[in-house]
Amino acid sequence: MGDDLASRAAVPGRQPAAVGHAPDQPSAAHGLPPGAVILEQDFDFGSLYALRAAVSAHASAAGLTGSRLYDVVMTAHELAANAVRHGAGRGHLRLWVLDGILHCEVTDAGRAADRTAPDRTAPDRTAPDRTAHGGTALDGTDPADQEGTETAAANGESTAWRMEHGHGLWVVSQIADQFTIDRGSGATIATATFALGVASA
Amino acid sequence: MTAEPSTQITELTVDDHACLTFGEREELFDLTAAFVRDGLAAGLKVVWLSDAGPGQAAGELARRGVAVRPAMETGQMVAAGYQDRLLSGQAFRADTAVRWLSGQLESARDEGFAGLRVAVDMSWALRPVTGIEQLPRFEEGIAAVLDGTTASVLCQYDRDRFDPVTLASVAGFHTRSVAAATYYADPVLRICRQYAPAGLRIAGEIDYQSADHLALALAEIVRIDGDITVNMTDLAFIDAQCTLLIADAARAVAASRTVLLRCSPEVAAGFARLGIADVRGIRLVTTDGR
Repeated sequence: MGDDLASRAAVPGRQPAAVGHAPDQPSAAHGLPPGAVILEQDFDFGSLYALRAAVSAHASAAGLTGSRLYDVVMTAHELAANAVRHGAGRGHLRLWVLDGILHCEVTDAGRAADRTAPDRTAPDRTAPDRTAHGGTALDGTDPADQEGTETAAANGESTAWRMEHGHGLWVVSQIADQFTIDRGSGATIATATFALGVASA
Repeated sequence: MTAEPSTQITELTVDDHACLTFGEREELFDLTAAFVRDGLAAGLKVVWLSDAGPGQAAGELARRGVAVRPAMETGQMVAAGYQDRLLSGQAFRADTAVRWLSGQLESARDEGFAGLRVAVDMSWALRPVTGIEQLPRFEEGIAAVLDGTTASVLCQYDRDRFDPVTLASVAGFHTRSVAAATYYADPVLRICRQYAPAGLRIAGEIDYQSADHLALALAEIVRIDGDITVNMTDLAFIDAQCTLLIADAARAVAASRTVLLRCSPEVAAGFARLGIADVRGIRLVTTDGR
């Protein structure tokens, strides 16, 4: 995931509103107390269903229910799918709970080896008019107001965003309490947080 | 992938003895609703034998837009169990069951109906019932009774619970096989036509890996005349891309007719996030999360 996304986050003036720490800081997962991590799982193209099932089971055990639980599963899926489709093709997911907050972290090695590698999935031919969503993923703003941001992103980057790429991340930015993307030493780390004890909608 | 070559439920004719196979209760009720709806509309007497009592049967049919209560009051529609019709206690006898069917045919004629439609949920045959080996004889007897009449019988078999040998042994007695047109099916996802009300049914979990199948199915159902329902009541997960695909299709159709999106509150939230709830012509109906 996230070569283009992480680069995008570093474009001057385009910092995502929800970033909790600078991209060059280490992942918050470092130095976690024992027992905080409730799930660690690798994933790739063929294991997204299993990943969703595992995330659902463990997030449920952590106390999330209803729409909040669904949102965590959706977040894990979209971040992992992004890594599969636009990043290294595989990645690693970690869930941990600290101070009443569930963190969902997806790490992948990026697509540094071959930035021009073809996408693993067919382009979305059915909704080509939705590319404008691509520029909104980290802004947390209404995609309807974001016509033209795709251009800004495309101009600044060597790789243009696909519609579904940005759209999935936009959804994550809408449902997570906080959503950050870090890129350091070649890897991309996306983290979304959900406070426990918040009633389901 | 396009629809399977088997007959559509809406294509049955007056003297058919059709074998319907279904995968889930939702599919059974959908296909039965279409069978009942078309039968009542044609002025036929309709009988449905199943585990569902008259109340539940009427409820399931009503939920699919088939108003059966008036027909039940006038006797045009009967929803009943198996006891004293196909079964006597825990015993099944083919000749008794065939005699019951002949009796139904006669009374429908006496009551002035143009014909008879009978749907039989065959799940009773999965229970510890004696005489079950007479099932092929029963199916053969039905074929004989229907010959030259204006009556049709729809035998409903759960394709996951009946073994292939049993299904094969009764298949030959049927004039047609009926199933929901399936656009895509794998162990976690099923995309098929819905017949009552007309539209699409998506069950299981769907993500971008099946987006092409979904797009194809959507492209086909938007060609159905009239209003469209996308039934997602048994859809446990849908990702951002597939939500967007359905929302776009719904927006395109909603200009001229109504699109009903039926889903769990969690799935509905994804559509609401795209502003779908405010689009004229689109109805977002949440279910109790069954």
